[in-house]
Amino acid sequence: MILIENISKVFSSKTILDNISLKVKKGESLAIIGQSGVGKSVLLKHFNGLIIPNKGKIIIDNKIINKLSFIDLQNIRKNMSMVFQFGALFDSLTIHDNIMIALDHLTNLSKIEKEERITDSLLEVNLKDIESLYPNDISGGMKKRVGIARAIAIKPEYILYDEPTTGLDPITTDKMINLMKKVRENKKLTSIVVTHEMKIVNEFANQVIMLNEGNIIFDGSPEELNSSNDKYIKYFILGKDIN
Amino acid sequence: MIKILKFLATRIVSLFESFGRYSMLIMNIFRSYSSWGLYINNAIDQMILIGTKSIPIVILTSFFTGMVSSVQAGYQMESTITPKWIVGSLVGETMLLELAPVITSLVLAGKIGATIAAEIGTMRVTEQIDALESLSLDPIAYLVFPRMLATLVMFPVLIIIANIFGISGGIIAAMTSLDVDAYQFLKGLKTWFKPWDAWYGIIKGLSFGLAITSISCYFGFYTKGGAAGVGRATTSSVVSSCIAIMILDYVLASLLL
Repeated sequence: MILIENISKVFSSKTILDNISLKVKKGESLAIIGQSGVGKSVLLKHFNGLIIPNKGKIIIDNKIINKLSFIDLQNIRKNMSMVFQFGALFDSLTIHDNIMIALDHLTNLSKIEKEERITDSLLEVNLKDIESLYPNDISGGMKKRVGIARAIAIKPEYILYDEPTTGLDPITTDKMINLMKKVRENKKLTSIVVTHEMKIVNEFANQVIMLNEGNIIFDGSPEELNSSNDKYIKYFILGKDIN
Repeated sequence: MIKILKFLATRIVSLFESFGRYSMLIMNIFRSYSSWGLYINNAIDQMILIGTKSIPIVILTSFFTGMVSSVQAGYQMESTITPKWIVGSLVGETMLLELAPVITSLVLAGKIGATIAAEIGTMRVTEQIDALESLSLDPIAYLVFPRMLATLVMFPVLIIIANIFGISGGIIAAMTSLDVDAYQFLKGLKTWFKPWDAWYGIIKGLSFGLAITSISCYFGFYTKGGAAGVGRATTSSVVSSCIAIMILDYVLASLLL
């Protein structure tokens, strides 16, 4: 379980997150939504300690991760993968080595097992015969899928997605959502996704929080979000001002 | 007036902050020493990039520097009764003590420093460094350690190459432009030669190399913004490396000579 208690984050005297608290139970899928620049990705990066809050606690499996040493934090991260907005694949490595680097570092598998794991992970995201290519040789959508393959190869308990469908066409977006669902079901993962995409909220998430001006202005189910009478929330969902 | 003081105060605080972050980055190379073995292959790649691929430019610059210093030494001696072999002494000493390490390092600050800052900076703005960290890899051990190790191994080699080709250039220029034969040149070279001078040049070159690499890693690692940020980091790394070389040059001369 992930528990976030009263965290605040300030960058250059600007408050990005202000006293945020939330809970994500095991197996749940949380969507974090909100306008661009409200701090969704900043909040997501708190979950795996990429950003440390100025105050408050982040508790993962009963450990306060913002108080841990670098080495202890690395151990927590072994159970938590992140899929970045544009894949964040290592340019200088092939697709194969992009996944292998994670397996080499995080597992004690034999070479054959690692190779099998790479093939299986790529098949899981519907990719094959691309192991020898470099990230620059594949499309943006494929990069995101390789990012997911790299994330699931280490068999984490938690997976964090940072805007997984940004920049994708509607068909690829639909495929990506189905892929995220498949990964979640097959691997029994707890998922946290930052998105603007209401399709993800409605089809993937079972808990939604909405951020605005550093605060959580909504915390509930997708159904509750859709039936909300709040003007700002309606504006966000419908994409047009109802006044 | 108050505005100027405020500006100066902000600059001074920012300078100290930067120095603190730089020191932390260097110290954090040691926090994952147990995993250094994993990055030896990266270090070998960096040795090729920093060392082997820099050999042609080092040969070219040191060779011509040696030739120019030989011609200029001959020009200075033209109207004096100083023996001609002094040219060999002057060229040898200036190459070993100053020109080989300084000219080589200034050239490499542009070549290697810019490459390192741009590469790591691009990794920062495309979230590749965050990805390393999210995979439980230590980005400092992965990115900075191999480059520092490669510098430690390859910079002394590059300085030795610069010495050899600088002196060779000096001999050729002396023979072709000054009517000094190789025997006379080498006699002069041996007359003033002290082994410590060669060691001093290598120590200097190594210090400059470590400064270039660490400064470039620092600017790359803390790059902010997109492509413009990478550009700024690259420029800052080259300028700061050149300034660091000049300051270290004086400090090492004061301490070691």
